Amino acid sequence: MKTLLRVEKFNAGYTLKHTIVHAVRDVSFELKEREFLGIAGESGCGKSTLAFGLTRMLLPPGKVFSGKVEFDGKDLLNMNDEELRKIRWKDFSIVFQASMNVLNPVMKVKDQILDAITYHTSDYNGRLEKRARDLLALVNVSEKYLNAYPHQLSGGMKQRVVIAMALALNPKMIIMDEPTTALDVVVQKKILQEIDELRKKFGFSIIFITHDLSLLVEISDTIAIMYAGSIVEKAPSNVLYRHSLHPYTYGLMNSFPPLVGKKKRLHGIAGRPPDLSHEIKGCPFYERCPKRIKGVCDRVKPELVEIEPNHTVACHLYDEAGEKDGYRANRDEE
Amino acid sequence: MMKLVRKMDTEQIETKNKTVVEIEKLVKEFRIGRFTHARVVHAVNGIDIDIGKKEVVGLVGESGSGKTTVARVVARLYEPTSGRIILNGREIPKRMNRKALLDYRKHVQMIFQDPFSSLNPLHTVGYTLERPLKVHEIVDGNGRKERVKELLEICGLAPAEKYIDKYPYELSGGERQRVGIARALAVRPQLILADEPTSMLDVSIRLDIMNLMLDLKEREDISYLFITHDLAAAHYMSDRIAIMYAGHLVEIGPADEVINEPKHPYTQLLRKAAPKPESGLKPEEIDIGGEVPDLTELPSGCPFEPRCPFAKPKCREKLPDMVKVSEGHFVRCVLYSGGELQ
Repeated sequence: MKTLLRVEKFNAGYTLKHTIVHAVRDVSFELKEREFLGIAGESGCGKSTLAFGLTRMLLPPGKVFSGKVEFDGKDLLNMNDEELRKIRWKDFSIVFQASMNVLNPVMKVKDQILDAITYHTSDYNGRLEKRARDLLALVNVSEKYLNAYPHQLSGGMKQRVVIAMALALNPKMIIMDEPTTALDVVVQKKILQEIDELRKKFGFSIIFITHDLSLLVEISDTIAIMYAGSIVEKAPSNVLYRHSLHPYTYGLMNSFPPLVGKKKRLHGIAGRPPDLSHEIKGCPFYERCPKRIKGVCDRVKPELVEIEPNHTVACHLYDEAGEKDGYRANRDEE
Repeated sequence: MMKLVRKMDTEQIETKNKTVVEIEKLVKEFRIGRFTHARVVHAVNGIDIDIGKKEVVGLVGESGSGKTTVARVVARLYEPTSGRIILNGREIPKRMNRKALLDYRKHVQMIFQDPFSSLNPLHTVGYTLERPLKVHEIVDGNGRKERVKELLEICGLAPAEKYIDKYPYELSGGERQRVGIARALAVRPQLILADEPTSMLDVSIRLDIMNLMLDLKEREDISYLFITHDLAAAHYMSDRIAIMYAGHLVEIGPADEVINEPKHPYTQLLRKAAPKPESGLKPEEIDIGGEVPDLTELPSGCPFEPRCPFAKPKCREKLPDMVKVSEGHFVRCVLYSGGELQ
């Protein structure tokens, strides 16, 4: 399938008075057409900064430091504002975290949905009312809410309206930044189901950002795990679930107690992520890693290497540096 | 002689399976609006739960189901509208003066959801932990510092010297929640009400906090009412699970049974909606729409009836009774009114 989005060596962060927070570090990945890519990580791992950065939505003090973002054959980072304005929301749109607060409280639902449409195209002139109704129908909101104000809607309905807004111009890609975290489990499940149906119907790609890995495993095609600003592992979700390679992925996977099956004691990941305002020498996960190799992991930063087709991991346990150290032999002895 | 025998009897019962707290027909209503707009929010509509010694009861429900209100009433942050709370066999009066409240809170403590706002930012960790010791006159003078250090170390904040003079802003979310737990622990309570203690924390440290709570249960003989919306977390923590919907208890039973063989249609819905990659990677589809009913105008019958796929006319008539389906497992649903599925 065709590649829709290509990100290369992307670096972004925040320039503050005394420090520079290097929140996204050398991130490279590709998103294919119709692909559902999930990005998972703890808070502060840079996943939202990545999403905002590559769509040029990062506001000061946020800043893209370097990198290349190619979306649908266009260079996103070097576009001028006018070009960007033309494709933003038309070719890609964003569903923000805590969407409840995204809606303008003094604008009717209908007007908010139509706002982007009237700006970008005259295709629907004369049929705007119908378009708004169709969009609401897509996300299962009754048309009686067309003239309602946001405060008259429940949290789930607001979230659906925001998704309808993102769909308004049939984009090729939708970035969803924790779209369901503030919702109840049942509503969350229902909305995810609907998102998946819409994707099948319209064929857009999704980048879905969340901290809930157990959720991602069920819904996405591919999962990228981020830690301290870098992608540490990326694989198809079933492969990642069954054979995660990076110790962080493994730890994160084990941080969710399983719902079914026997109860057993599990352990989270001790410690906390490194401070991103400092340069990190070696592997960012070194301090918390149960399998670290002294003398290797604290000195050399591991690069993403492809272990199997489509399964990449950045860890010395699986590259030459670790091999040289004879770590595998040591591990077998344990 | 008689006296001695009786004393031995009670001691034996105590060590066996002592009920620490019984909540009976607990009701809490809030009045909102004024004059023509006056309405009553029926947050909790007659809840019965008992919690045994060293038992963890998980209280699960969606937002607006009244689970937090239950905890706040039991902690006596709210006065109950009606119903009884019985602690160690003694009924807690509906109105309490300050001294009685203080005494009650020596036994019942609470851990809050948001560790970022439940600690006073102007006080050091040491001060925060010393307060309950002072207010409740548990340890005095020099002993207090020692106890604070001990509390910190029990809660995994070692070495205590490193944390004792820190302010909340210097701590991570997980560390703050540990301070919150230490504060609840300070008075050596019998019951801790934990209101979503992990939902604001990062995923990788949630388990550590839950493990800490389980360890403390063994070590300090504590019972928990563990409130969560996460079925998996409730399963991990609890001995028994209670499911709440629109202020009513709809199912209560042993944790494994409630999770693996949910009886009430609402519990079944919750289970379907929860992600569980371990049972095959295909997510289960749900087809139940609708939302939690308006708590100011509750339906007269079963509160779940409007969304229930098995709804029958008689569901609308009156609230179904709690029916026993197996040992210690009760369901409020007409489907089981004979004890078996009808």
